[in-house]
Amino acid sequence: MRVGWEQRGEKSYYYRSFREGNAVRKVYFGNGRAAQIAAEQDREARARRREERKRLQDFEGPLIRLDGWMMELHKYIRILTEATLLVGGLHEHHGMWRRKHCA
Amino acid sequence: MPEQTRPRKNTGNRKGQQRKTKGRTSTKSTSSQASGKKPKKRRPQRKESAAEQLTALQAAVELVKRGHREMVPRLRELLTESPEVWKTVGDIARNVQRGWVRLLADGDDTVAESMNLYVESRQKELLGDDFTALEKAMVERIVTCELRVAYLEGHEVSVPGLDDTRLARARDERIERAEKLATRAMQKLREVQLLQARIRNVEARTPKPMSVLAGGGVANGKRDSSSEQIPSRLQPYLRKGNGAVKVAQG
Repeated sequence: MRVGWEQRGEKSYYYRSFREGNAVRKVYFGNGRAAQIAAEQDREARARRREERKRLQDFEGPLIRLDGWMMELHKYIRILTEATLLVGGLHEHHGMWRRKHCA
Repeated sequence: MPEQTRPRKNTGNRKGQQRKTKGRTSTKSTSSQASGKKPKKRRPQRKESAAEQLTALQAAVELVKRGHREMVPRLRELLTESPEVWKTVGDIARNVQRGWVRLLADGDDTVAESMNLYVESRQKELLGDDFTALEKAMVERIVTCELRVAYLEGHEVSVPGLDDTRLARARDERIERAEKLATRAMQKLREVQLLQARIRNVEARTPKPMSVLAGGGVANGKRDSSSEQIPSRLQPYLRKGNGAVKVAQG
């Protein structure tokens, strides 16, 4: 089935759909030359988007796992830093580490 | 009387259950005895995994932060007596580094080898000769962040002409975030180095040591906790009275 072409009796007519807020609107192009051009433009746009999506997936795919590990690393280092400084007699005050007056 | 019948009914049920289970266990034991198998030994209590120790550490940190100072000895114990925690963090850092190197090299072994050498030398450069386990972990994180920035910037060069695409936007966001993280990681290292120097300074002045630094304060086997010296690279910061890290004078 060709995307955007709608069958009306013997003939098919081209409609370009787009979203306007929550509603989906359609623009009628008929079945002549204008419909052919609009259909071609939309096909190219779809192919371009598909290509972009694929490139994005290829780019982000290997990064997701590494990002997960990096998050873990940041978390552990934060815990270890806090633990070390607390053991050293410091305490955190508004993001700054200070030494206890009574320590 | 209904009050009497109800408990009797219940106890009867419980007894029945007990009998049933008893019966089951006895059959099992007899069958194992009959087949000549040894009865199962109780497993020795397993050692806490590094992840569990880290969770325990996190819990202890939270408690101390909320004012439970009595948890400090436990925190110290967790830090100093569980090298697995430090090992785990080091393993994660190395795994991430390997991952970035693999991406950067893109199948080229020579590039991968040179990247590995770069990682080693950069870590040495940042660490110096005298460092704690915490500093080592932080430096590994910095190098990891730098590798990430290098990969993303390299990708920008190798896949150009994508100014308006989703990929370009996603990549720009990632580069910005990665650069921020790398800068912050570096700042954190400097901050921790300063704070640790101050802790050591206080410890040296007080007759009784106030605490033992994380990882026993020894990562490369060179540091002697009894005669702590402030590393020479930190002297300029201390002389200047650098305001980057505010430490209240007690």
